[in-house]
Amino acid sequence: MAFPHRPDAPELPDFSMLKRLARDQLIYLLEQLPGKKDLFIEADLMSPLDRIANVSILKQHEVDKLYKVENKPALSSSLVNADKLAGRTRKYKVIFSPQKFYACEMVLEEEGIYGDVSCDEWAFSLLPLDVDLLSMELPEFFRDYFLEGDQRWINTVAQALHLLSTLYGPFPNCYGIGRCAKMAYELWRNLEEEEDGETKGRRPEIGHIFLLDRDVDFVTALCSQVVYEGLVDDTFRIKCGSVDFGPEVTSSDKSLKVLLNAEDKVFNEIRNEHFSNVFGFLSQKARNLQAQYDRRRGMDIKQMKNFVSQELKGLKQEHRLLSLHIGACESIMKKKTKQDFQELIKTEHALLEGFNIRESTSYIEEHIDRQVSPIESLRLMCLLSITENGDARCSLDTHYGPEHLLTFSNLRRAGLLTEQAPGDTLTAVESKVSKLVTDKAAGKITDAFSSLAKRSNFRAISKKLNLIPRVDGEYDLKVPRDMAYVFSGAYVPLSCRIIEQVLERRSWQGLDEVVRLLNCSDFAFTDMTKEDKASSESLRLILVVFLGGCTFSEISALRFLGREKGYRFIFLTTAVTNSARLMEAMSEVKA
Amino acid sequence: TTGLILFFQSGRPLGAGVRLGMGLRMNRTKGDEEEYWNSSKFKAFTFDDEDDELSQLKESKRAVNSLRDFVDDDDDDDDLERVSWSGEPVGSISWSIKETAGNSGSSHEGREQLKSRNSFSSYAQLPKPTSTYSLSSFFRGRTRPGSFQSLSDALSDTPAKSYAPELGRPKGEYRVSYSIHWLFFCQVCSLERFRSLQDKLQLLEEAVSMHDGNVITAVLIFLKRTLSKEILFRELEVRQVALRHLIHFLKEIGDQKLLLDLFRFLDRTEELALSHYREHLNIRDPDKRKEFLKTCIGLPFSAEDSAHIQDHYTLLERQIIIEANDRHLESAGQTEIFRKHPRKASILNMPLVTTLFYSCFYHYTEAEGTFSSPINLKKTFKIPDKQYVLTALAARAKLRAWNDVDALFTTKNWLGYTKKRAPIGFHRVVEILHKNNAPVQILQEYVNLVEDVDTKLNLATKFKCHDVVIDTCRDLKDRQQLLAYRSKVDKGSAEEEKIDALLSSSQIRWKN
Repeated sequence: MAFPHRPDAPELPDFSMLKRLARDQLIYLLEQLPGKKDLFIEADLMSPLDRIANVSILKQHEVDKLYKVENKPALSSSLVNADKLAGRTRKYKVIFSPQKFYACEMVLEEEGIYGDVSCDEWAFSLLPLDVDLLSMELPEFFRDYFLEGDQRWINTVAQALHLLSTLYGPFPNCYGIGRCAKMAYELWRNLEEEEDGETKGRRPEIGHIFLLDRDVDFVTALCSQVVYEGLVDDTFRIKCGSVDFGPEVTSSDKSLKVLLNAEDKVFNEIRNEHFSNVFGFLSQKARNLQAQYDRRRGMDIKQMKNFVSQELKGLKQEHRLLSLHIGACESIMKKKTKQDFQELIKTEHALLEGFNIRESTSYIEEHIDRQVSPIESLRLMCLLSITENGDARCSLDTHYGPEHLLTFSNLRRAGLLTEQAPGDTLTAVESKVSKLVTDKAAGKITDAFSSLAKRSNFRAISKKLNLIPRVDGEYDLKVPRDMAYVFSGAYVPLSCRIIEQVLERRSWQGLDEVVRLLNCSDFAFTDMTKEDKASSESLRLILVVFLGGCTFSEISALRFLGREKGYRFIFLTTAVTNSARLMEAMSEVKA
Repeated sequence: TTGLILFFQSGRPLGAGVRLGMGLRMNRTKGDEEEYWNSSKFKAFTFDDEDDELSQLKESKRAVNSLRDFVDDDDDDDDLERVSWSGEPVGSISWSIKETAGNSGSSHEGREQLKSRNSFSSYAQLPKPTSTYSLSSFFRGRTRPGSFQSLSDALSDTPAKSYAPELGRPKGEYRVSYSIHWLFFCQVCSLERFRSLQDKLQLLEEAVSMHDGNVITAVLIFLKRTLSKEILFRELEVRQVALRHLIHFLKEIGDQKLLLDLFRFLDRTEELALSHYREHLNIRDPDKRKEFLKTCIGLPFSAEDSAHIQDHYTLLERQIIIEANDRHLESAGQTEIFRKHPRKASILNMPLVTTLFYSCFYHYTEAEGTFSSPINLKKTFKIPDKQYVLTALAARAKLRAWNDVDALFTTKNWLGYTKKRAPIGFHRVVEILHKNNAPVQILQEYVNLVEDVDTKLNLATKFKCHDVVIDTCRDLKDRQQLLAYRSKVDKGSAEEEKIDALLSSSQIRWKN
């Protein structure tokens, strides 16, 4: 269980500094408006803020009352304008996090309160959720960029990377794939050149950085997760590193908010495990615990005193954690049994491997007929469509309300549902348009269109990269042999395989065909600098940046790869995601 | 209080109100649907092979629970709540706000003060942050004196590399580069002096080549204000990246009119239609919504979507009639079905299948001529047979109307013989019946109709239809399986007797 790291695995940098920086800046901003003040916090910002500061810090800096805001513009303008009408004078400050947009200022101007309020930015864009996981907590990145084509967050990403290189030294080796990855990289490089010298002379702490767009691999994110952490996320929704376990888990009448990270010793040992291993582990743990408690029988007074003062606390802690995770497992089992999970997984595997397509299709249709859940059905349809490279639209509208045709249109635009043959029409438009404009602009249009015309070549890519392991006999999930274990041995996550291959080669060499099939010919890049200053330890530290979100399954798979190869991976994601979040982001009808 | 601070996650400058309203509505709808559909609470585990693991899990749970007495004796219950595994208080700010679910929307009701909870004071004071990085060094990265640097560099004709205009460009372009540079770094910049179209376009090109969406949008706001929409649209048509930013911007600020004009100009008819159609989500009043949907019929949707729009309109029209009628019936209190099973929610705006379920539940026996009859719905909306049967089965089973269930699967051939037939397969029928707590006799009847012997045996075992299991084993002449099954029935029960009788029978030629 819980494989140890290789003895030569490098130490992770200390990311708690990021929290301190964010806290310092927050305090600085609070002090910009001296005296007593009320604070209105937008709902989405509360959980991240919680991880940085607490009420007492706010109180220390003279925050009087706290309010939760769900409706931004109406609030700011109505607040200020109401005060104006009442003849009350106050000072107002609007703090945008992580950055201020011109569009927001325009709104303030239009509402007639520009000038009455002062605007600031709280550049809080990197939240360390765990020792190896940094989240930008920008779930909206996915929809904004991959659906709407809005590049507003690219600068935020570039700033975050810039901050990291300021704190942890330059990255000697950079790789990336995806249109957004390339743009973020270029913008980041511009920033670095602007401030040339700041990072100069620093020893790099992290040897490699790998940027990857979510749309390079939708398939992995669409799969049901079966490693423990992923399953907890799919079932209970981990939010900002913590989860709300309801009464069904805590076996009491209370819900419990629990932080899930490496500090939780029980969780840390099972988080990356395939779910089928978790039971055995937990029962073993329970037996050990029992044995340790039992030792107190037959102790004399002195030993007992020792036991109580030294061990009892730890045992109690472990006991609490154990009963929580056992409760969580039980609850997961109940929910999954109800959903016919086994059959669902079987269908997913069939889709990934590309056999029994007709059966899978009819399973999905039945799934829809049975009204299981719109999000689930959408997810399966997308999976079918991408793996089979065809439009798999069923009569979902009838079942979940006609508004879903808006959602379908969104899924198509984002490339989650692929069209049957869009190529020809697009080429025609493209060539017509290119005749009208200069060469430079034409190039850009081609870019824009190629992302629109994206066809999924999943089957071919899967073959090229060997994503479906050939298994003789049973795949032993207790002793995984490759990253496929995160999907029960059926499929190696495409995103992780790409990263593995590139790191092995230290370039994209020999991967041309794969890159072409991914429609990323113009967006796969490498950039190496001289490695003379990088220690061999730092060269085994890799920062992976997921633009548009990564899943816990991918994190587990790369942690596994790290253990195999003696690397350590650090994850930077715009947000932790899963299939349901992807589908909800595309949904026009928020369920 | 002298000051107010508002904290926003940036982006989404507008439109949040709309989105919020929608969210609320959908939440309700979803809950209601589940009310209709959740036929029963989850029963015992009967998951195929997982029995062993579950019992293992249960065992560990027992073990852990048995320790509780010892563990809890000197512990207060709340300890769990405060335990913090990362060394910081869990849920402090969200927790303190949670209680005032006030939506500080358009009015003052959201401004009601948070209940100040006495536990505020109980928060331990965190030590002052001891960052090695001073504030000033951190802010340098953000407020960027560096950009002043490069500006003066630029003025002294040695501009920073990346934003340097290429030599030999006309002078105007210098200004463009600097402005974009300013927009990017300094965030205060007037674009008013760019009055020629060429300058404006140059500005846009520079912004796009920088990749920062915020800057692109800033330039677009300026162009939108200073160019006629025809010129703006014409220029954006060949600049797709900028075009997408403008579309998103218009969506966000809710400038529907300009958005529709833009789609019309671009000849994107389908997007135009969808955009128009999307507006119905903001209309609460059912009659107004219906009228609005009517205006959507005939818009240039794809053929498939067109049919759905038409159906959407027809469905809502129906629902309005049914709703008025049923609300009246319910409040009159004369109709048995409504008295026994009061409606949990209105049927307005529900999906078609939910509507069908509703009508199978409340209006099953109505003649085809009425709007609310299930058969009428089936015909009007061309609901496939499978879907119809599934829905009707779920509804009738929930009402425990077993005769209706029986009739649903009974067909007569031309000779008048009756035959059982299920388009969805009897295994599915059995599962649905089980979910609705059908009695064993009923279940048994349908398990027996499952054609595939293995499936039949599995289902019978899963749902404890002992007779079916026993008879099937007998028919299969599978002595071993029968013997194994003996241990699963109650001691001394009729089933055990039956098994014993079979096992000792000399008339069966067992295959094993």
